[in-house]
Amino acid sequence: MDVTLAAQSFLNGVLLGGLIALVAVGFYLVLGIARVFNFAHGHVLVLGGFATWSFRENWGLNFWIAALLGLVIMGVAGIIMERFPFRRFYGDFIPIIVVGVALLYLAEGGVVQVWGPELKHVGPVISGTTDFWGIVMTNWRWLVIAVGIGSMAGVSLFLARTRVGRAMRATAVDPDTAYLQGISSIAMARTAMFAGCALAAMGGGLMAPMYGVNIAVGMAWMIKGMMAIILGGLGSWNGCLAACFMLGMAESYCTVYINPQAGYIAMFLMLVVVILFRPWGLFGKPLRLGMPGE
Amino acid sequence: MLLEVKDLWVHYGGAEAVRGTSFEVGEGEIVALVGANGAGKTTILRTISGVKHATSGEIRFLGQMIGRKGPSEIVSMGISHCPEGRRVFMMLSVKENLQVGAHIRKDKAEIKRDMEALYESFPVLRERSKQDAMTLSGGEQQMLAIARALMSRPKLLLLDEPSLGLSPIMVQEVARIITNIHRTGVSVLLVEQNSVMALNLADRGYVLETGTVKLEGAGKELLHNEEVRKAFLGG
Repeated sequence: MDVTLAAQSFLNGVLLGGLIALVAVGFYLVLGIARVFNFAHGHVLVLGGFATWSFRENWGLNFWIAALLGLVIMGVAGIIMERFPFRRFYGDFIPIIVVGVALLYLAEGGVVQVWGPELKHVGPVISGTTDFWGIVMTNWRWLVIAVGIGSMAGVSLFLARTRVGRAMRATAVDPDTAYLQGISSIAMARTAMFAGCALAAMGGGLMAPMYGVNIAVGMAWMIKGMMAIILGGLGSWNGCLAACFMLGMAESYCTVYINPQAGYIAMFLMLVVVILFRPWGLFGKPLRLGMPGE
Repeated sequence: MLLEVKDLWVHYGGAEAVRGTSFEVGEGEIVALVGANGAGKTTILRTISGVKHATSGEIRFLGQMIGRKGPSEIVSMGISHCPEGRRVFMMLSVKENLQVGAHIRKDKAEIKRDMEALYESFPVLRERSKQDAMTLSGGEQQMLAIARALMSRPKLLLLDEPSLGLSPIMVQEVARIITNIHRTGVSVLLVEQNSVMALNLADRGYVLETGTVKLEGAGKELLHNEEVRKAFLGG
């Protein structure tokens, strides 16, 4: 057994897990607070990636400024999505699914119109590789691992320690009683949509120099993020994070040791087994489809 | 007057839940609203705290009309609502529940001091401050719910069925807590199905029936009123 290959696959799993988490955090927050499942969330990542590509390759902006612009634009798009299509259907799960699917097709058509269907790569931002105890990875991948872990630590601290983070958790547990404390569910949903979409767009920006982006990856990342929240279960942020990294590991190891298709199959198998025995996820609580307050 | 409610009408769905109710709470009073299930007591409290809006009628707090305001403004003005069934945030720790109770406040140092003071009055909450609220017993959850409501520094505390589902000893404990809160200068509007407990504590009481006030008077007086005894206290 090649120890270096195993260790390299582990780090690749961390990389993938971090990227899945950047998508899953939006699902987790928005589903927990507003009971909204946004089917277009994977396309938010794609749009973030394409925005970064345009600002970088067409306008010639610095990559980090380009990525930041993509992040802010998609965050604002999140606020708009919360305000217009979703808000009037809060508490009504079927219309919310329909709105999500409609947004997905809108994004899909829009992206193909503007950018076309082919894969677009952003040119390398930083070059070179670093050898860490025999594990060789490009510097860009090391950086994405650090950004992924850093932003998840940031989200965890935000939820655990800040006034707004606590208010979001209180709203997810009991929106009506949170409202009595002066917390508006709408304000919390808006914050969650902004943060969730901004982080997904950041994921798209980080991927662009590495895997490139095209319209097809939207659905793939939406499914991975969705698998993470089903596997982890709602009501437990740590559970959601653990699920993201479990999925990342499954994909990474199966891809290296079996083949790329096996990575996907392994993730679905994990999901099927968990749904059979614990439909509310590994760490979650059964979901209560309540109506948020005003 | 601290709180004046005049000719309040509230609809729930199509039904009239509150039908022309009027009552008052004076500064430093404990006022009880008693009555059977469905008399509209909870709806009245939810309307005062701004979660629900009235169809018609007036609600004044410290002379200001508050009928069109939302809960965050009303909590900031000094009305705090401890809901029926305790409704503590189960997956948040005891300490976080208290912090959420102070959501509308920004004075961090003062919030900390108030929390310390509440831990002094409720030592069991200090012991369990790091535990999730779901690990507390029913009585402890009730104390947490009351403490959470006090974290916003209310002038008027709305208490909805604080004795519901508690053991007789715990009911006495809750009564003692209400008396203590009252001594610190907080006025209390107490909604109860346990009329004996509520009317014993209250300076004044109102008996509600299907959304209207049937009787009013001093707490002890109502407790000995023949009609009230027949209707609510089992003869």
